[in-house]
Amino acid sequence: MILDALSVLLLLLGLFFFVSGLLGLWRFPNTFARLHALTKADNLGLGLIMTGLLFQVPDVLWAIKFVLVWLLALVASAVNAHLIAVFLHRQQERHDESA
Amino acid sequence: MRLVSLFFVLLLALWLLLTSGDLSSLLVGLPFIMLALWSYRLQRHVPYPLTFSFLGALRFVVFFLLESFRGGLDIALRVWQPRVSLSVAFYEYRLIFPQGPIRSFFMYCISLLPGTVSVCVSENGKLCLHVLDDRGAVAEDLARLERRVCDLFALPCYKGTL
Repeated sequence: MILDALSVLLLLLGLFFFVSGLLGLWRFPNTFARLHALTKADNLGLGLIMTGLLFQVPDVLWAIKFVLVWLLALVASAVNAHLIAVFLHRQQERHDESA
Repeated sequence: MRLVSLFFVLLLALWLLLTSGDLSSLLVGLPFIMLALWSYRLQRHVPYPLTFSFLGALRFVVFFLLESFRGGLDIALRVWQPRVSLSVAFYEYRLIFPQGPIRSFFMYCISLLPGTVSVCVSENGKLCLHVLDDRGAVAEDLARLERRVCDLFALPCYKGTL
């Protein structure tokens, strides 16, 4: 019962950070700033959702699986953010050169 | 070659763990494992031996979790305000890690932690990054992450040099 309540609390908190990231995507002024919103808020949001679900797992294997999914998502999000940032930066440099 | 076989076993274990040991899923998994190994061979040049410190890893995990909180909270505080207050800028930071996996790791951590996204390594060997708010203590934050990464890989970093 207490574990269920804790799960719900953590899932809601995680949801709040996901919505915050989404709001950042909408409200931040440029693509670089939007990258910040997505990487940071999603990192925390998914982490909290993962922790909330950890209280519901049937066995340790599932717990390991959840943590792995979070870690893989972190790696993917960091690499993606970096690749998009590099691409944007090059594009801007090219734009400056031609201007 | 030994390193590649070790990676193969690790990736295979990871895949089987994620799919609860469903062997038929290897039909999809194996090609991707091979692709991952191949892309790893492309950038295999490691200029230093990789070592880890157990205590350093523990300290790094605690640091990473706390900073993740700070980063997410920072975004949430900004987006829910009626006027979004940002002071975005590009920023340069001296790199102490030579090209290789530790530098990549450091750069990816930067992107996951509060207010910074790493963009590129400039020709003079400096790291350029994008900061959300240049009124904050960017250099101090980066130096702290640097110390934690040194600690994790058991590197003898001293006052910003390696």
